[in-house]
Amino acid sequence: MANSNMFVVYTSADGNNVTLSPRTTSSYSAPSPNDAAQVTLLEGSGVSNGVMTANVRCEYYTPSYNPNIH
Amino acid sequence: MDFTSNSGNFIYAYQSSGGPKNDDSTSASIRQHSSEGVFNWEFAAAKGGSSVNPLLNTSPSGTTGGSGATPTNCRQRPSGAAATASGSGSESSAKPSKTASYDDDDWWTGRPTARPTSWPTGAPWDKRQSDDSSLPYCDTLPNNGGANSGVTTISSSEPNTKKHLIAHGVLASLAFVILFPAGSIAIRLASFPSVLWFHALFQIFAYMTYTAAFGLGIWLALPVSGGHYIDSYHAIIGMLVFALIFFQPILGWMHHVLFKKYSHRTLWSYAHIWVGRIAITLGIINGGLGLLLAGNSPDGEIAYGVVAGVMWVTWVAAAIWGEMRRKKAAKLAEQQRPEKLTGERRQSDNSRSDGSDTDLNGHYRPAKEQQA
Repeated sequence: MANSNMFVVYTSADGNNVTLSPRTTSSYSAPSPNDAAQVTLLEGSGVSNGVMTANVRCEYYTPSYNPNIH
Repeated sequence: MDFTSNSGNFIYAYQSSGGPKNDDSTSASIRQHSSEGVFNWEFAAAKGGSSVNPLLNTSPSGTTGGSGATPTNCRQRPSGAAATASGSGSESSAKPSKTASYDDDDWWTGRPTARPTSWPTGAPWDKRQSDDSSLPYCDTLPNNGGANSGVTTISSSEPNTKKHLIAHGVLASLAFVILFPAGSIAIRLASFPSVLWFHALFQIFAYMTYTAAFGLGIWLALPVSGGHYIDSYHAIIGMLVFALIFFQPILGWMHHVLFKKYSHRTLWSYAHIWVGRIAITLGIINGGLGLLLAGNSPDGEIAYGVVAGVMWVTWVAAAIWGEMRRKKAAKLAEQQRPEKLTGERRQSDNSRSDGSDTDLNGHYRPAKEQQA
């Protein structure tokens, strides 16, 4: 998923909320956090019944979206 | 992404094993995804208008908050209906456990029959207003499932792709890093009755191992498994090597028959030897390319590189040593025994136990001492 903007979500330290980590990668390698991304977790996010939910507001994200999936 | 269009395509991916991450850091280390998919999301569901958070819904039947949007984001499950949910909302959220959400089969079969009655009015593309069947059943949604309205799953990979990938890597590595070099070293260095047949059967076994890995690899490379790798270097080299080794049994057999007849290497001998050398080297390199393609962890790549490197060097050393012994033996034989050399007599040679050998084949173990 090179050059794509990823919204990586996993459970927070206490397990009851979610951590949102905007990441990107330029090649076939593991993505790293994208500090340029301006994203906010909104109300309604959390963990409920084993399901993680992240409501995200994204104001700025670079690099630009690349429609190539692979 | 063009936000002026009605909807956009997204891809999702998740790692279903290992349990919750439980980490507050945005730079937590994550493992590669085990499954993935594509979905389409209607932007209307995410448009705020005057609302700061259009995704928030207080109840499953709440409004999406979009201007002019219809209120429902799920539908009641009719009694007796199959557990299907077109555009399953849960597909887009990264759930630790995903087993319940693979309902694509139901989706594909359920959708066409539902559509005609669902569009009495309105445009077909405006699912929020008219295509009720595109909405998930309410009981499949999380508490604030309204956030997932307007989501249509386009494709999703089989959840067991990862297992196929591991099996492919393990089998192919076994073949090229362990089995093929071992069978090659054996014919060079080992000295026991029927070493020729040990070599032949062992390499055929290695080829069968690679055939299994090859089949998995082809499947993984094609869209049928969600892969698009058939034109990658890794896949092309894999197919080339598979074709090359296919001819090794006949090349080896021709070498064997003609060597017995002429007592020296023929074109077939060199073809067999060099096809083998090229194929094993390419195969080992291709393992590394495969790990790169799979986005394997650096640790795994280093481990493969070390083991494969040691095995490759050992194998090359055995080949060089064998060639040198062969040359030395051939020179001795020429000096001391100019008459016609005997051919391969390994199988019937009883003097083997003292370390001597009548073969001057060099491809096989050459003579250490001369025999009259």
